[in-house]
Amino acid sequence: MRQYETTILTPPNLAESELEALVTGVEKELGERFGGQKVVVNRWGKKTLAYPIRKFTEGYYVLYEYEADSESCVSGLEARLRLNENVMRFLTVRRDEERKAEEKMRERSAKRRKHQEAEEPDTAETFGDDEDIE
Amino acid sequence: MANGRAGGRGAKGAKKKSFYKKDYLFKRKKYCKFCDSGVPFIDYKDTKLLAGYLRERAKIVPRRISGTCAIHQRQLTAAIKRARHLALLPFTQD
Repeated sequence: MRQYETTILTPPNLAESELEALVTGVEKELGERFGGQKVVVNRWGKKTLAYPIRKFTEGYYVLYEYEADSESCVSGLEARLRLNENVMRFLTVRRDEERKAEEKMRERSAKRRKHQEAEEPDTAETFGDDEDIE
Repeated sequence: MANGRAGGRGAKGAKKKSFYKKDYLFKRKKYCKFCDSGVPFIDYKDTKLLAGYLRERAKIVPRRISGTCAIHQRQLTAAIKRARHLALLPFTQD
Protein backbone atom coordinates (compact mmCIF):
# COMPACT_ATOMS: atom_id res chain seq x y z
CA MET A 1 0.00 0.00 0.00
CA ARG A 2 1.38 3.32 -1.02
CA GLN A 3 0.40 6.69 0.28
CA TYR A 4 -0.02 9.51 -2.14
CA GLU A 5 -1.11 13.07 -2.10
CA THR A 6 -2.32 15.04 -5.05
CA THR A 7 -2.78 18.79 -5.11
CA ILE A 8 -4.88 20.37 -7.80
CA LEU A 9 -5.21 24.00 -8.73
CA THR A 10 -8.42 25.33 -10.21
CA PRO A 11 -9.33 28.76 -11.57
CA PRO A 12 -10.77 31.27 -9.09
CA ASN A 13 -13.77 32.18 -11.21
CA LEU A 14 -15.62 28.87 -10.96
CA ALA A 15 -19.15 29.05 -9.65
CA GLU A 16 -19.77 27.56 -6.24
CA SER A 17 -21.64 24.61 -7.71
CA GLU A 18 -19.04 24.03 -10.40
CA LEU A 19 -16.24 23.97 -7.87
CA GLU A 20 -18.20 21.66 -5.64
CA ALA A 21 -18.88 19.32 -8.53
CA LEU A 22 -15.23 19.26 -9.47
CA VAL A 23 -13.91 18.64 -5.98
CA THR A 24 -16.35 15.89 -5.11
CA GLY A 25 -16.16 14.50 -8.64
CA VAL A 26 -12.42 13.98 -8.37
CA GLU A 27 -12.86 12.51 -4.92
CA LYS A 28 -15.47 10.06 -6.17
CA GLU A 29 -13.45 9.05 -9.18
CA LEU A 30 -10.41 8.56 -7.04
CA GLY A 31 -12.29 6.35 -4.63
CA GLU A 32 -14.53 4.39 -6.93
CA ARG A 33 -12.93 4.23 -10.32
CA PHE A 34 -9.25 4.14 -9.48
CA GLY A 35 -9.34 2.24 -6.22
CA GLY A 36 -8.01 4.94 -3.91
CA GLN A 37 -8.56 4.23 -0.24
CA LYS A 38 -8.89 6.45 2.81
CA VAL A 39 -9.34 9.50 0.64
CA VAL A 40 -9.06 12.70 2.64
CA VAL A 41 -9.93 16.01 1.01
CA ASN A 42 -8.24 19.10 2.27
CA ARG A 43 -9.27 22.43 0.81
CA TRP A 44 -6.70 25.15 1.10
CA GLY A 45 -9.02 27.65 -0.47
CA LYS A 46 -8.23 30.62 -2.62
CA LYS A 47 -4.62 31.71 -2.67
CA THR A 48 -2.63 34.28 -4.55
CA LEU A 49 -0.46 32.69 -7.21
CA ALA A 50 3.25 33.37 -7.35
CA TYR A 51 2.92 33.98 -11.08
CA PRO A 52 -0.11 34.31 -13.33
CA ILE A 53 -1.54 31.15 -14.89
CA ARG A 54 -4.05 31.61 -17.73
CA LYS A 55 -4.06 35.28 -16.74
CA PHE A 56 -5.41 34.47 -13.29
CA THR A 57 -3.60 35.85 -10.29
CA GLU A 58 -5.49 33.67 -7.84
CA GLY A 59 -6.29 30.01 -7.66
CA TYR A 60 -8.20 27.52 -5.59
CA TYR A 61 -6.13 24.68 -4.14
CA VAL A 62 -7.42 21.28 -3.12
CA LEU A 63 -5.29 18.55 -1.59
CA TYR A 64 -6.23 14.85 -1.72
CA GLU A 65 -4.51 12.36 0.51
CA TYR A 66 -5.10 8.71 -0.25
CA GLU A 67 -3.70 5.23 -0.35
CA ALA A 68 -3.49 2.98 -3.34
CA ASP A 69 -2.12 -0.42 -4.25
CA SER A 70 -0.70 0.33 -7.62
CA GLU A 71 0.68 3.07 -9.76
CA SER A 72 -2.26 2.73 -12.13
CA CYS A 73 -4.47 4.61 -9.69
CA VAL A 74 -2.24 7.67 -9.96
CA SER A 75 -1.72 7.44 -13.69
CA GLY A 76 -5.45 7.01 -14.22
CA LEU A 77 -6.28 9.98 -12.06
CA GLU A 78 -3.65 12.13 -13.70
CA ALA A 79 -4.90 11.24 -17.16
CA ARG A 80 -8.35 12.42 -16.09
CA LEU A 81 -7.01 15.61 -14.57
CA ARG A 82 -5.11 16.42 -17.73
CA LEU A 83 -8.34 16.32 -19.68
CA ASN A 84 -10.18 18.52 -17.24
CA GLU A 85 -10.25 22.14 -18.34
CA ASN A 86 -10.84 23.35 -14.83
CA VAL A 87 -7.61 21.93 -13.48
CA MET A 88 -4.79 24.34 -14.13
CA ARG A 89 -2.08 22.42 -12.32
CA PHE A 90 -1.71 19.21 -10.38
CA LEU A 91 1.06 17.51 -8.47
CA THR A 92 1.21 14.00 -7.07
CA VAL A 93 3.73 13.07 -4.42
CA ARG A 94 4.42 9.76 -2.73
CA ARG A 95 4.04 10.27 0.95
CA ASP A 96 5.24 6.86 2.11
CA GLU A 97 8.69 7.44 0.65
CA GLU A 98 8.79 10.81 2.29
CA ARG A 99 7.84 9.24 5.58
CA LYS A 100 10.66 6.75 5.16
CA ALA A 101 13.10 9.57 4.54
CA GLU A 102 11.64 11.35 7.54
CA GLU A 103 12.34 8.34 9.74
CA LYS A 104 15.88 8.20 8.46
CA MET A 105 16.46 11.85 9.21
CA ARG A 106 15.07 11.41 12.71
CA GLU A 107 17.52 8.62 13.38
CA ARG A 108 20.30 10.67 11.96
CA SER A 109 19.57 13.71 14.07
CA ALA A 110 19.22 11.57 17.18
CA LYS A 111 22.62 10.10 16.49
CA ARG A 112 24.02 13.54 15.93
CA ARG A 113 22.65 14.82 19.18
CA LYS A 114 24.13 11.91 21.08
CA HIS A 115 27.43 12.53 19.43
CA GLN A 116 27.34 16.18 20.34
CA GLU A 117 26.54 15.47 23.94
CA ALA A 118 29.36 13.00 24.14
CA GLU A 119 31.81 15.64 23.06
CA GLU A 120 33.27 18.10 25.51
CA PRO A 121 31.00 21.08 26.07
CA ASP A 122 33.80 23.58 25.46
CA THR A 123 34.28 22.84 21.82
CA ALA A 124 37.39 24.69 20.83
CA GLU A 125 36.73 26.64 17.70
CA THR A 126 39.46 25.66 15.35
CA PHE A 127 39.19 27.35 12.05
CA GLY A 128 41.84 29.24 10.22
CA ASP A 129 44.40 26.72 9.13
CA ASP A 130 47.48 28.86 9.44
CA GLU A 131 49.60 29.03 12.56
CA ASP A 132 49.28 31.83 15.07
CA ILE A 133 51.80 34.53 14.76
CA GLU A 134 53.22 35.39 18.10
CA MET B 1 44.14 30.04 27.15
CA ALA B 2 45.77 27.77 24.67
CA ASN B 3 42.65 27.53 22.61
CA GLY B 4 41.95 31.25 22.46
CA ARG B 5 42.17 31.22 18.73
CA ALA B 6 41.47 34.15 16.48
CA GLY B 7 37.86 34.49 15.46
CA GLY B 8 36.48 32.75 18.52
CA ARG B 9 33.89 34.75 20.36
CA GLY B 10 35.43 33.98 23.70
CA ALA B 11 38.93 34.83 22.57
CA LYS B 12 40.00 36.62 25.69
CA GLY B 13 43.48 37.41 26.89
CA ALA B 14 46.20 39.49 25.36
CA LYS B 15 46.27 38.26 21.83
CA LYS B 16 48.13 40.32 19.33
CA LYS B 17 46.30 41.35 16.23
CA SER B 18 47.58 39.28 13.40
CA PHE B 19 49.02 40.80 10.29
CA TYR B 20 46.51 38.89 8.19
CA LYS B 21 43.10 40.45 7.86
CA LYS B 22 41.26 37.16 7.96
CA ASP B 23 42.68 36.37 11.36
CA TYR B 24 40.93 39.17 13.15
CA LEU B 25 37.78 39.56 11.08
CA PHE B 26 34.88 38.03 12.90
CA LYS B 27 33.91 34.80 11.22
CA ARG B 28 30.77 32.96 12.13
CA LYS B 29 30.81 29.29 11.44
CA LYS B 30 28.06 28.17 9.06
CA TYR B 31 25.86 25.29 9.99
CA CYS B 32 22.92 23.46 8.49
CA LYS B 33 19.78 24.90 10.00
CA PHE B 34 17.75 21.82 9.13
CA CYS B 35 20.17 19.50 10.91
CA ASP B 36 20.22 21.81 13.89
CA SER B 37 16.48 22.19 14.30
CA GLY B 38 15.81 18.54 13.47
CA VAL B 39 13.22 19.21 10.78
CA PRO B 40 12.43 15.67 9.65
CA PHE B 41 11.24 16.48 6.18
CA ILE B 42 11.13 19.56 3.98
CA ASP B 43 7.63 19.85 2.62
CA TYR B 44 6.77 21.68 -0.58
CA LYS B 45 3.65 23.03 1.12
CA ASP B 46 5.67 24.93 3.70
CA THR B 47 5.99 28.03 1.56
CA LYS B 48 7.12 30.30 4.34
CA LEU B 49 10.13 28.16 5.11
CA LEU B 50 11.04 27.69 1.47
CA ALA B 51 10.73 31.36 0.63
CA GLY B 52 13.55 32.01 3.07
CA TYR B 53 15.87 30.07 0.77
CA LEU B 54 15.11 32.14 -2.30
CA ARG B 55 17.13 35.12 -3.33
CA GLU B 56 15.69 38.41 -4.39
CA ARG B 57 15.30 37.16 -7.95
CA ALA B 58 13.73 33.96 -6.63
CA LYS B 59 16.81 31.88 -7.31
CA ILE B 60 17.66 29.14 -4.85
CA VAL B 61 20.30 30.18 -2.35
CA PRO B 62 23.42 28.05 -2.88
CA ARG B 63 24.76 25.80 -0.19
CA ARG B 64 27.93 27.76 0.15
CA ILE B 65 25.94 30.79 1.24
CA SER B 66 23.24 29.23 3.41
CA GLY B 67 25.44 26.54 4.93
CA THR B 68 22.81 23.87 4.39
CA CYS B 69 24.20 20.34 4.29
CA ALA B 70 24.11 18.31 1.07
CA ILE B 71 21.24 16.06 2.12
CA HIS B 72 19.00 18.91 3.13
CA GLN B 73 19.94 21.08 0.18
CA ARG B 74 18.79 18.29 -2.11
CA GLN B 75 15.46 18.00 -0.29
CA LEU B 76 15.11 21.75 -0.24
CA THR B 77 15.68 22.11 -3.96
CA ALA B 78 13.16 19.39 -4.73
CA ALA B 79 10.59 21.02 -2.46
CA ILE B 80 11.12 24.46 -4.00
CA LYS B 81 10.75 23.07 -7.50
CA ARG B 82 7.53 21.32 -6.57
CA ALA B 83 6.18 24.48 -5.03
CA ARG B 84 7.08 26.41 -8.17
CA HIS B 85 5.09 24.06 -10.32
CA LEU B 86 2.00 24.75 -8.23
CA ALA B 87 2.65 28.51 -8.33
CA LEU B 88 3.22 28.57 -4.59
CA LEU B 89 6.64 30.04 -5.24
CA PRO B 90 7.85 32.12 -8.17
CA PHE B 91 10.26 30.92 -10.83
CA THR B 92 11.54 34.45 -11.18
CA GLN B 93 10.90 37.82 -9.68
CA ASP B 94 11.38 41.13 -11.38
